[in-house]
Amino acid sequence: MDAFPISGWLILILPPILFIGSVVIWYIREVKMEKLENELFYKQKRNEEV
Amino acid sequence: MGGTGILLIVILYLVFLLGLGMWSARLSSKGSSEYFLGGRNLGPWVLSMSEKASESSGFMTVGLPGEAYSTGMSAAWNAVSSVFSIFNWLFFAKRIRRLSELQNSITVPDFLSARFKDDTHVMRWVSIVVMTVFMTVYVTAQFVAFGVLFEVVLGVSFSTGVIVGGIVTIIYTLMGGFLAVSLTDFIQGLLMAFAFFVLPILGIIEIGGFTEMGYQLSDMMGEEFLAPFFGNSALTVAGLIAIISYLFIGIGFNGSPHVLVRYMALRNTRDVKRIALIGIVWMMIAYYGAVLIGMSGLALFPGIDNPEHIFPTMTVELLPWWLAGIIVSAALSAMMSSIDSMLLIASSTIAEDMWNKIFNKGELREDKTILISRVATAVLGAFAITIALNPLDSVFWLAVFAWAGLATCFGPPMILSIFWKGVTKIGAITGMIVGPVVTVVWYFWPPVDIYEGGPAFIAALVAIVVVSLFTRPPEDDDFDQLWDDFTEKNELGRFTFLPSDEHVIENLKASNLDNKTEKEIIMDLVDREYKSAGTFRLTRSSEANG
Repeated sequence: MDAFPISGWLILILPPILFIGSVVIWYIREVKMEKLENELFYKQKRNEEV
Repeated sequence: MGGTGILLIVILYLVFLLGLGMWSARLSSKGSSEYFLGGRNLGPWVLSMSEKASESSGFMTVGLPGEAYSTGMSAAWNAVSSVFSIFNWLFFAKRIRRLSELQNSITVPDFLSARFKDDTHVMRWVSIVVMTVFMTVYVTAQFVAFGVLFEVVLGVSFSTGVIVGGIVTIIYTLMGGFLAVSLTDFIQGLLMAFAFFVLPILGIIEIGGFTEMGYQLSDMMGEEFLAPFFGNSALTVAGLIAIISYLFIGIGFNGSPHVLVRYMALRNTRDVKRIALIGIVWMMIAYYGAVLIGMSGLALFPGIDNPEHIFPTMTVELLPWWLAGIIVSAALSAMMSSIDSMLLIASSTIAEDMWNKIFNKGELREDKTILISRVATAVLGAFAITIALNPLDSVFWLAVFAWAGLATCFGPPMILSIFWKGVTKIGAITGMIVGPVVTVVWYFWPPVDIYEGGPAFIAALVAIVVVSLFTRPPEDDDFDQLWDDFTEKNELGRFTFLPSDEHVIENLKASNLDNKTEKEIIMDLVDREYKSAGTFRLTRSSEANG
């Protein structure tokens, strides 16, 4: 493990964690918002039918 | 069996691609939207792999491992440039898809012309010239890389590699259109991920572990080789310029028409999140895999004349012949996926934007548009093969140069046009010209030794903003209506539903009984009863009629 300097380790580990992590957080947020959007859509449809 | 076996697998793979092209040709004959955008029916897995495979090119299999072989850990900055791809998914993709649906545009020049109401066709002409020139350069570079791989791994002549690979790629592109390109890109993307995952692991095991690799490289090249500072153990000014240069290469993701057109081909905007997740995982595997292939390759094969031969060398030396055949097919895939996408984009621009929209005022029959596109694919491809047979010295840098020329022409106007209503036609056209011109000038006479794509992209953005501020924005009612529809938000602060979004939600609703009222469930049952009764009646009456 000592063969690699800290900067070498950082560039190997940090970008994948940050990039994949940020996309996963965004993905979860999108899924939540889509659920709300679905509810809104059904509500609008019902209102139109009424 | 070794060499012959690898050759056999590669031939089988090429035959398989041709078969796929023929199969897609039947589906793609339905119309130009089917041919150019796959009928907007492709799922997130196919589109995501296709996006990644087509933007990667021979750079990933030949260039990046070679760079890691020469510069060590500094090559990992290429992986950091993936952040520009994240910008695409998070900020641009949905807006591009939304506006392309509202405008009914199917190519990038089509998108820009519709957005800026360019009746003079200046924008289309600039697009056609830039695309044809830079894409031909890019495709030529890929054909050369094709020939090199054939030569090193299979032992056939360079010319044979260029001609055989080139012809197969051209044939299946012109037969199948976007569907063929995307399906093969999907397979190629998976193969590449497999190669970049397996090969470095095998290399590191062969060395004796990751730590052992570090010690060996440190002994051979010094500790600086394992730090990401371009030959220094700490950050210097020269190192910082090199890092910025590497990061600027990522700007190409935001402007390359073959990347942007994939967002226009989405089934709906909800697919973007899946594409992002699949794409970022793929990029991390591929980029870090390529870097580790180069570094482990140096520890295993330190005396290679050309660092760019490390990927094929490791493949042939470390793997059994059948697996080497699959991995070589993956490497060829990287190049082919770029070639086919570039050819399709360039030929669709010639057919749709020039022949149909300019020469025939949009009234050309769809089958004729596809025919023109196929002829253009064949002509451009043949031209690129001819140039590739007498390769220039700096092929790799020409490819990166072409990537910059395309990205700086289309990226700045596309990005600004989806966020700012005030972008004017003259502003956009100025940016489309300034970007490629600065690219060319910076490439030949660089004031600072930095990758030309970055300064050119910034210059184009600034030019568009400045010129737009001093010229009159579009003022007609149609445009105002389009912009209002495009930016309309619902109570949740998100974009309102387009027909494609409504279709998705309605499908969800149909598959989930919990979301239905009793009345809706009964209506559905009655509806089904009616349809089955209708079918029954139809069958009975057909029988009665004999």
